[in-house]
Amino acid sequence: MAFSSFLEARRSAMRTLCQKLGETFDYVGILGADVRSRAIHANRSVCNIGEGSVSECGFVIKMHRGGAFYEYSLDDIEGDIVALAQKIVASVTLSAELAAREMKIPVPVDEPLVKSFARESDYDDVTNEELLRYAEELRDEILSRDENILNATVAVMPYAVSKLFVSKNRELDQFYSWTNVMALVIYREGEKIVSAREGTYSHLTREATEIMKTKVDILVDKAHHLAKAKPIVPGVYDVITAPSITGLIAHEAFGHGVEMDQFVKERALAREYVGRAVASPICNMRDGAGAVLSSASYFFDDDGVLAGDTEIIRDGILVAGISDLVSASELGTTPTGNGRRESYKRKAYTRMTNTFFCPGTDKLEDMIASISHGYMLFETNNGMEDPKNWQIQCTAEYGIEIVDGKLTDNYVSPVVMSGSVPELLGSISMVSDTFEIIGAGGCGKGYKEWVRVSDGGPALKVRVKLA
Amino acid sequence: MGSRVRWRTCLESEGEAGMTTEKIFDILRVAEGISDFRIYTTRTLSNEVFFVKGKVETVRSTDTTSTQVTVFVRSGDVLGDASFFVYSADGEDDVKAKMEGATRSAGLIRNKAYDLPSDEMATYDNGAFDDPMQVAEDIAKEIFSLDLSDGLSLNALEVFLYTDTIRVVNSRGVSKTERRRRAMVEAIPTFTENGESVELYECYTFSTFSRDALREEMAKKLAEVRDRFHAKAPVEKLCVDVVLPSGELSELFFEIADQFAYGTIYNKQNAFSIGAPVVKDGTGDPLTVTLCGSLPTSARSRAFDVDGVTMRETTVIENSMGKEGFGGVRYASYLGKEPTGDLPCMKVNVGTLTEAELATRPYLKVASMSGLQLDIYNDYIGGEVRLAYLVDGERVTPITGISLSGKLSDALSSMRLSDTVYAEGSYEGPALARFSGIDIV
Repeated sequence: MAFSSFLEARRSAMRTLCQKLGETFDYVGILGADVRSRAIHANRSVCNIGEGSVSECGFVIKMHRGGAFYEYSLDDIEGDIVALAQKIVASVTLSAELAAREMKIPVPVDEPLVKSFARESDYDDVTNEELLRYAEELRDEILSRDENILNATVAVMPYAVSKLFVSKNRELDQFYSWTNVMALVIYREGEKIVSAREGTYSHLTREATEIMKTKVDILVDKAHHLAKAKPIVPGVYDVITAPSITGLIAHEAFGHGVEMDQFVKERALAREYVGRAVASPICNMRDGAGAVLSSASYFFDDDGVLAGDTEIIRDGILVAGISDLVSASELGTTPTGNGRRESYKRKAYTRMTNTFFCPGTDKLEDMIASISHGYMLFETNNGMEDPKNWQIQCTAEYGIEIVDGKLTDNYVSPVVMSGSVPELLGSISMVSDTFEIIGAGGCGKGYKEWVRVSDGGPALKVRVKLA
Repeated sequence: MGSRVRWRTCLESEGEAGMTTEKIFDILRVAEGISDFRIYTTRTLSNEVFFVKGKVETVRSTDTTSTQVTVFVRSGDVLGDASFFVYSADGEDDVKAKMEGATRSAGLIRNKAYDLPSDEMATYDNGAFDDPMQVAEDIAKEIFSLDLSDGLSLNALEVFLYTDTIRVVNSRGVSKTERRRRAMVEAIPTFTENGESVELYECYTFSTFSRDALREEMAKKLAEVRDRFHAKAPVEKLCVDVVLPSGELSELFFEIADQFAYGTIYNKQNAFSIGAPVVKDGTGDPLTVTLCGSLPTSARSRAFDVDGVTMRETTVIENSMGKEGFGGVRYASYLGKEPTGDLPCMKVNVGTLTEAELATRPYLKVASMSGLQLDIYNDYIGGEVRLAYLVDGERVTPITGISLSGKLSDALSSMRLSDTVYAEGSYEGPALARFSGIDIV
């Protein structure tokens, strides 16, 4: 599969519409999105082949003439373009009362660039039949491992993205794909029922499915341990974070706080801390769709800005934030390629992409050995940011107790980590020389606007409140 | 409020462009290899206004349609299904190609067979926003006319006004249409003093705009954010009852009710069972939970589900005992039950806790959390508290910097439900509930 033939067929209409709307607006950018996704599920009782959750096909037009930004989303732009332009202009016209409240935002820079981007993909080579057979066989393999497994679900979720951006001076197109594979077991031991999951991911579907086959033992062993897990005794502990939890901290503790649309709204304390220490001096953090290859990697964002690799924290000092076209225009900065939409139907906001702490120099075994009593935490469950007040809540699926410098067989679950962001980041005392990005995440802005993100990094040693 | 129903002939069409439901229906009707099919279409018109510090930053308007087709292939006792989207740009050949691919995929699936709903037609009209920009303006006027002095501000306000037209048609004579409006106001009340500031998050949904209700909700949040600024972490560990507000109760009761979903039961993943107690050794108020299709405050209200099953109000928990399951046609059929529809809203019976009784001993009244953390399987309830009030007689002290952690079963067994009702989002039930045995750390 290559770039969308549908978008290719609309390229000329997009140019014409851009030109027509350009008679009314100083800036016009049109994004066409054609995202094909599939979801193949198999569990003990049902199997399914269906559309994935990220499928979309349509257009969003962004317009500006020195006041507020205007946007219009629609399914197709074929036909009478002059009439369509008139309809769009009319639909975003404000009443006098609201017009009086319009911000005065500088017109974005529209740097000339014409370029096509593509990444290797096997999206069309892998059939539904092959994926269903894979899911059913792996399900049966998991179910055969332990009679305590009540149910096993295997899901394969590939998607292929085509996007075309047209403005007066830019014409960019991109094509790439990504696949997530998930295996989930429901496990009963005695009266206790638990769930355990494993995820794999790759830009190649067959690579993601092959890796999952190697995780079956880990998955079943985890379910067995979680069935014996006990609640944690609330308190403040020395903690080692596995990469998933490291990524959750990067994402929740600081990632949301440096989304620069929050700077504009005066919603982020980080704005006042640029150039100042915000974390332990051994702490370095980055974000960018171009920083690593993972689920949030693309070539240009939904504003037509090329993907970036932003250094957020260097040696504990806050260096910079991330931005979309609108917030960068408002702040007079250069956009960093972080303008993202849930779909063409939704607004673009400043969003994280691949967010991670950079590796350090410590050996993981030395980090564990340095703790007399604490926990190593694994697997993101969920998190919630509070960028204005720098509070954090992150939930790990489970933790393993560390006693006298050694990991024990004692599991605790679930584990909620909470407290103050500066205290947490300031407490980072060791950073491992290992590095892993978890490419299976989703992120909302507040409680909506879901986009795919990845995060991760090395293992960190921190001191934090667990409950 | 409430739905107005009228019957109409099958397959009247409104507002569809490109491949209409009728055209897709005609293609599927004569296709070979398909036993049944379903077409589910949602057209959404929206107007959205985004304010930053009281100024309009972005104005959006959308007119989009999503059409999902599911084809079913039956062979004796097994049934396969596969789905695909039809886009506005798709022509007849595109639809035929997608249909053929989906038919091949459905033929690979060997699920236990069940029958689709049949022979029902209905139209439900709950109205549209006739002049959405005027409503957006009214909302803005109302909110910005609140007392935003002495350090109070609304740093961000987002107004979303939607009109959805949902239509489901299947090969068995189901044709249902529902038009429904919904609105969401997301606001960030902020309090600033001496260069320091704090904020809270507010999400308010409705289908009928009430100036008074909006003002009351926003005024409450503004008062809370001022309190959050002055709140402090307790000097000593607090050992008092915890009072959760309706927002957190909604999360708690939806999580428990999900254990009675037909799919959860069929897959043997339910921690609670029909006929068994949800609350063991209860010393508090009995819990009665009824799921339903719509509530005036809910943006999720629906007259029918994706299969076209009309929502049937169902009491899933009565007097703390599991009573009935709920869910769509597939798992209902597998369990030999009647489908209720995938019910999105909830009503919970009030209890006996009066304000006077609540005041008889100290308690921690939670106002805002980062998110209630629940794990029914691990018997856990907890979460980080952004603002709470320690109430001790006449003395009310704002508290922050604490977390909750406890056994869910202990919390439920001590639960006292308030005798006052409150409606918020998809929840209508006790305004608050008091729990013992939750650690405050």
